[in-house]
Amino acid sequence: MTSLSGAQANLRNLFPRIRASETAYLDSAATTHKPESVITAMQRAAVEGYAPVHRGLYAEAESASSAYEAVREQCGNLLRFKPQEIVFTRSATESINAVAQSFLTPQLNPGDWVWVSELEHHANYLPWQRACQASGAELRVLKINYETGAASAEQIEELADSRTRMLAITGQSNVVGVMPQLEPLIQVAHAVGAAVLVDAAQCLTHQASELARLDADFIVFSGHKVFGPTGIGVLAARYHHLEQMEPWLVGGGMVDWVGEGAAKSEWSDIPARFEAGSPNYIGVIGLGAALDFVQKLPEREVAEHLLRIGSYAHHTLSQLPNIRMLTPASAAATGVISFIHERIHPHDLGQVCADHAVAVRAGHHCAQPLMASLDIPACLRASCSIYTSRADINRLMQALEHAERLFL
Amino acid sequence: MSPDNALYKEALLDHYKNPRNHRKEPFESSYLVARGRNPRCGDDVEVGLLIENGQVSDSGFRGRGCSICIASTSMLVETAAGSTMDELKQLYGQVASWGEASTDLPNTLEALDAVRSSPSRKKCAMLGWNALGEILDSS
Repeated sequence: MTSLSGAQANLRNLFPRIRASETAYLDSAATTHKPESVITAMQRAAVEGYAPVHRGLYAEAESASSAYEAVREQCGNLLRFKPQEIVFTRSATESINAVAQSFLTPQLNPGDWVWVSELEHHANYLPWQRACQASGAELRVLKINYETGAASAEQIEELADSRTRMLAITGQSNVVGVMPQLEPLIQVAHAVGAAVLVDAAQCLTHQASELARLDADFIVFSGHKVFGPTGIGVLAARYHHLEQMEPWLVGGGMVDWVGEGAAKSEWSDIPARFEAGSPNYIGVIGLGAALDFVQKLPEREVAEHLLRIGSYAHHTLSQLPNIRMLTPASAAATGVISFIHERIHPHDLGQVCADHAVAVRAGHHCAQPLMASLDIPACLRASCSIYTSRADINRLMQALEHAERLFL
Repeated sequence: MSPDNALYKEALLDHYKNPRNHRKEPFESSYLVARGRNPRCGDDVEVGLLIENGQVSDSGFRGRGCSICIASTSMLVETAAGSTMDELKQLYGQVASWGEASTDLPNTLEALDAVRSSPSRKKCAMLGWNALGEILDSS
């Protein structure tokens, strides 16, 4: 095993499963492992501080409500949104669906344009496609230059059309790691009165301060991709947009007065009206601990580690004769490295990796429009995080060499 | 670490590397033809059977896929050769219910048994067989 630098060994040791497992975990773009601090915080929330949120007058309930609201404030501070502009959802997927259904659809007319990029995950593609189908609007796709992250001048001109109502774009491709240049696109969209949603699911860990500097109308992310639990997501939305939006779920905790007959019910204040049902207390506490963990990581060290490990993986893989890299070298620093083998099917490669206890992802990665633009049905993705070591990448290389012996 | 690659038995790899009756040209109109596709991974195979005097006088397949898909479809066309329609139906029934532990596969398909322990690959193995099912349904 390649020896680890002190700092990296320490980072790895913070993750109980990574520390104990024999598996080379290279699937962090799908979901990240959890550090001890997140597991402990969730356990404490379940054991010591457990109570309903916003539903009790007794001490434990008050304290659970305060802890829950403190995480809302933490999310707001992280992205430079006000606390009341943070809505907790189940996932980034739910956050995007909520914006598409409750914000965009009611104001969309036939002939309007909704823009996404070709890099989008299905979660940031299908909700907009459905909104367009329901209203007769047109879904348009921005091409992004893999090396520069820029859209073409011609397409930026089209984006600046008065028909544009919305731009929904990823901060980082979950397949090829490419990070679109968001700022110029946001400016162009805003100039024609369109709103912008940024899907930050893949990039929050290493791009939080850049995201906070953007003037996006909506930013969404999921807890489980930033070292937190599954089942918790965030929708950060400007207050004046939330004021226009009808609650997408109705039920307990979101209504002040229930109207009888034709009388209209009165919704609770923002953001409570968007959080129907008992809140995911343990999930929110876990998310708070995860964001604490991310914020306390030395930012430079994390970026440097991702750059080192991503470049090592990219360089090593691109030396193999039959490998075609899909992630450009310029995006290697994201640690998301996708490729295909010219002669071996991704599922066969993925299977041999699995037999070597190397966890990678084979398939279309919920990005079929991107696969179509690359003219491939599927690919293999090795995705790194702060706990990934060179030894993990070397294990991947051994598995690929074994696959070549087996199939060729 | 020494992975045993239980899934990739020699017989299965042999079918993958030397697929039986794998053709490039489209089937003639006298063949019964059906297609099995999995858009999730791009696998796409087409099975063709020529029936003469109630028996399969020629069988083949076209298309692309992973090793499990290609090997399984290759085994299908090899096993189907010379069968009557009733025998084909019986064979298809055996394979279609093969997830149940009690179902035994004919000797020629023994290598497929390894896929049983890998449920996520069963879809790959079934593509060609789904096409056979369609042929049987429509004939």
